[in-house]
Amino acid sequence: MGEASRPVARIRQITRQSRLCVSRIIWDRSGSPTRFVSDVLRIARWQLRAALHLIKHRSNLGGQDRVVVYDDGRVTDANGDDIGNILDEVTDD
Amino acid sequence: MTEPTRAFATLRVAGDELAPDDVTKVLKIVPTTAYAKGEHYAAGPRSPDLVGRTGVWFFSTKGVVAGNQLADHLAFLARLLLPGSGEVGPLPHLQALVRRRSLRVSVSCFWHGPATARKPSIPRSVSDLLKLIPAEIETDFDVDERPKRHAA
Repeated sequence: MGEASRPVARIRQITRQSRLCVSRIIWDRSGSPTRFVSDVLRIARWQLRAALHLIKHRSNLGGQDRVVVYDDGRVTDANGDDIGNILDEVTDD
Repeated sequence: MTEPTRAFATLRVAGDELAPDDVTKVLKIVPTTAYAKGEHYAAGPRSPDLVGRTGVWFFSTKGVVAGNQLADHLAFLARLLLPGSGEVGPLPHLQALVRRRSLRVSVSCFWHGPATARKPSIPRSVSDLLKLIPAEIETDFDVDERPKRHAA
């Protein structure tokens, strides 16, 4: 590979890495998330509901407050501020 | 396979003037999470450093009370307030703290059951006790989604 093509290769590598880091919104509503959300996170629906319940109430939010859930488990409030991660709360019991 | 029922309850005391240690001293139990307004707190290894927008003292019976009968979890919270051993208990101290610091108290009830299960109710004794604080009760009850039938 010539000197001229190296920056291009580097840009492609960075772009590929940044794509991998971008998480996708899978829930952006209030209330009880659907099975689609728990399927994406590869957990049971009750585990998702229990985790979200704990995160919301620990953050002084109620069940009807809107939250955003990403496909890496990250949860933010309606203002976009992080309030927790579903995967930190998941237990088997 | 049908998943079993899951249940737990939480108690939250919140407010800008909350000093979490005050609630811990009154209720004599270590909270699941507690932070003052503006204080940094950790929610878990995957979560970033979080900052409390208001003060929160939060206790969950999940993993503390055995079993998945919601009534057992609520009875545990009720015994924190009224131990029932003839002594006055923490209730009047919590009421005074809530008034003095303009705090809000809420109890949340989580329940998840099989598709055909009947949702639980809140025992009258618990709701009457919580009115005395006063505390709000929030229910989060839901059942499994029924499996979809496919045409043959």
